Amino acid sequence: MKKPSDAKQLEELAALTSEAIAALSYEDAMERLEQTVEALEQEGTPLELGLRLYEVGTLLGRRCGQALDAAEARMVQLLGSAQEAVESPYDPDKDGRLT
Amino acid sequence: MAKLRSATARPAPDVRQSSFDELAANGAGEPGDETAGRPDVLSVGQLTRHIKRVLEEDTLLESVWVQGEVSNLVKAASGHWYFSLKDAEAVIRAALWAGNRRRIRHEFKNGDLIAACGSISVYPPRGEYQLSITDVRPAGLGALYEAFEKLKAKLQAEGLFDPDRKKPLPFLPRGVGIVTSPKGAVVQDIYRVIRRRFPNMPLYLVPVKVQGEGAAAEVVAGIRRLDADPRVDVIIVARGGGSLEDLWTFNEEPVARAIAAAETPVISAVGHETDFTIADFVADQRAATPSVAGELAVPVKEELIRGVRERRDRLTRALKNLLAMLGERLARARACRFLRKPALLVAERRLNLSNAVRELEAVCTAFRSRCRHAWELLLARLKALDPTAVLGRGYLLATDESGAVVTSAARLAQGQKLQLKFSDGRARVAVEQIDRESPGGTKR
Repeated sequence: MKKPSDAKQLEELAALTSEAIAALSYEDAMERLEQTVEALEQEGTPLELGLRLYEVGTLLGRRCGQALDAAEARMVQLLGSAQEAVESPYDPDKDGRLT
Repeated sequence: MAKLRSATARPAPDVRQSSFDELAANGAGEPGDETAGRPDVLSVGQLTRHIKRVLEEDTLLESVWVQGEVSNLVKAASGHWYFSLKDAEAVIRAALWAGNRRRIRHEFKNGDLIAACGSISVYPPRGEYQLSITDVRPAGLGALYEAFEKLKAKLQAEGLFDPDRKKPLPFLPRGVGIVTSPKGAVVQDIYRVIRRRFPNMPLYLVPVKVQGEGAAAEVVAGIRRLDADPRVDVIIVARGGGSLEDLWTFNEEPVARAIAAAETPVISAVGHETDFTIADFVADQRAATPSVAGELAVPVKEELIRGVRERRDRLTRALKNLLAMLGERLARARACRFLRKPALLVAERRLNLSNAVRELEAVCTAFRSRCRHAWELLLARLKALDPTAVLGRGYLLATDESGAVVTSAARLAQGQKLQLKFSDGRARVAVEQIDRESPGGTKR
């Protein structure tokens, strides 16, 4: 039998909307994905809940991937002052000469 | 020379770790001790052991910087160097073991003024103490070391180095800020390591002077600027190796305070692995090299992707298992004979019911017959006791007018009215004649 806290956690997982999932950070999404997998691996999960968990887990996995790919590969140098910031691309192989 | 070297080893096991008082008091107890019975007199060995212990246990003498002129420098074939350090007032013997010498970058010769760091050790066979040197720097740095130690002590006292002040590094930063020189290997190393581990990690470099006039102010401004930038979740403050003066920017109080004040976690990577700067003590994490700083700053993306993929596979497997299990349960349910022929269920129940009824009836019958039997027995016993039962056999019952049974002729009177009770009726009669007999006689 599951502990009450697990039951609550399960409820929260099953109630996750796709909007809520899209707003999660990589770590938060990963943590919930882990919980979802464990919940689904529990024996005796009812069919309806199982299908819901699978759906939520799939969205969470997708969110993790998105979070990892979200950032844009770039390196800029911050020039000027904090007040008058100038940003320019930086190429470390050219010793910082502006390209 | 090897003998001298052994003088710097840990105290030999036979050296007693007793206090001076104990030494004096227990002097008598030492076997073969010629001073036995005179506790105020120590042997030379005892005294020297005590001196050795006092000197070698002193925390200041464990690691001390001293400045002096090199003289009598002897470079032994073993690679160890022996010399004296002197100034106008005093002289102290010094030894620099080969292992330490190879790590020391500063070369020196007789007549040079140097600053040496080491510990005081005592060599009892010669009654000598000496400085066992671990580091040598050019003289004139004394003031810098002093400033370093002073600031270190001050900031430590303020709690700026406390482990519980250290902020954890983010698991996955949105962006990494770098404060270092835009030229040279340091920024390239950090760049390559981070690109390799997490190819699409945004990097924000604030190019600064890392040494010389105004360097500290630039580093401070860089840290503040990146700390205020919402795109930056971790800051690397880095500089390549160099002399103490080269690294001095990172021993300056404003830099230390800027690192401590930053809300964004700061990784320091200043100088070589063996160099420690104040910045390293204040930083949330110290990296031995710029590459290590890059490794600390970002995770390996491929590993994370593998982790996600693994969870997704488990999720799919778990759902398959669940469906398989539910399917199996359904099949088991379908296989049940009652589901296949529901009438069987009724028939079986009906059979059970009629069996139960029959059983109940049998029990009732048995009970009833047992009751009847008991009742008949009781009735027979009752009948046997009925006094009127004998009337049928020719006996009769006589009662007087009060209704009392007349059992004796002696109590009768002539003309007395009696009532006779027969089995099938009564008669009223009057006593005509009384013949008394002895007891046991017959009735009239």
